[in-house]
Amino acid sequence: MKSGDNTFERRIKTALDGSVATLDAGTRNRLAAMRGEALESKPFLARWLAFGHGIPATAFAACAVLVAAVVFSPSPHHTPDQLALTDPEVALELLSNEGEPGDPDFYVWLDATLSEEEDSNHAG
Amino acid sequence: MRHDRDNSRDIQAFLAGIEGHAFRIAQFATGNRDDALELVQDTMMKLVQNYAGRSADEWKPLFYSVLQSRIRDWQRRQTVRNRFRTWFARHEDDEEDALEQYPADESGEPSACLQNDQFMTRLDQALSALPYRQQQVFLLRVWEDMDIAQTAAVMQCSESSVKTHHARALQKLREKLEELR
Repeated sequence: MKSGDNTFERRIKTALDGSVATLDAGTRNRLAAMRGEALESKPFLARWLAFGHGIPATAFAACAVLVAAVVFSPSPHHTPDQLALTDPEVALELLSNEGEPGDPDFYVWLDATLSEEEDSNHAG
Repeated sequence: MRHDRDNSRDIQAFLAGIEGHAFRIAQFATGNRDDALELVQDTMMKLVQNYAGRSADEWKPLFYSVLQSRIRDWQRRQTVRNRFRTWFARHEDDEEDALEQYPADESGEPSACLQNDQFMTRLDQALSALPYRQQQVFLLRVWEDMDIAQTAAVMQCSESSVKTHHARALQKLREKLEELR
């Protein structure tokens, strides 16, 4: 850029500054009032953008709710009885399999009972 | 709390310092005092509500980005309105030619004050007659001292466009104001 351009631009800048300094009172008052209104609108902003205070508190509250939700939520590991209460298929299976193999005491008891009955039959 | 009060004071000082410039820049773009005031008000509100939390260094480019966006919206609305009032529409060339209706007063030796008034009047007309982008780029670069990158960001154009617009605006202003230099 030529130095003549710089001088010319400086003159323009000075003239523009002068035009602001000589703004009419009505315009200046309107601008001041608008500024006041804009600054008044800040409480709304403060609720949402007050990074210094609002967000940590909100984050803390959100964490607390999350922790409570996790701690007091129903356990995913149900006992068979609980499962039976909630799942009809499981309940049916439990009922149909009741007393069935897998319990050696049952066979001991069965043998004992049968042999007692046999003895009594022989005796009779 | 104290931080909030400081921030509030800072942004108040910032707005007080920039509002006059912003008003004149919007006035050059719209050619209308009330529309310019409305655009500046919207810009102030937006800055305070959305960007007050940003660092003070960012306020100026943000403020002018918002203002330019508001000016472009205003221009779009005007374009739609003007479609229904085409007889009022003036072409860009016509606007520039309109300046010729105000020839420089070449009679006698005007005083410095009168010369300044005359310069300001002619500058007003010459700036108002510039195409929107040339006008705004020139004002942001020369009056607001924004660098090329900042101006490009605010005007949403490339840095080379900023240089072109600036050079063309400067050339036109020189031509129009030559006799008063």
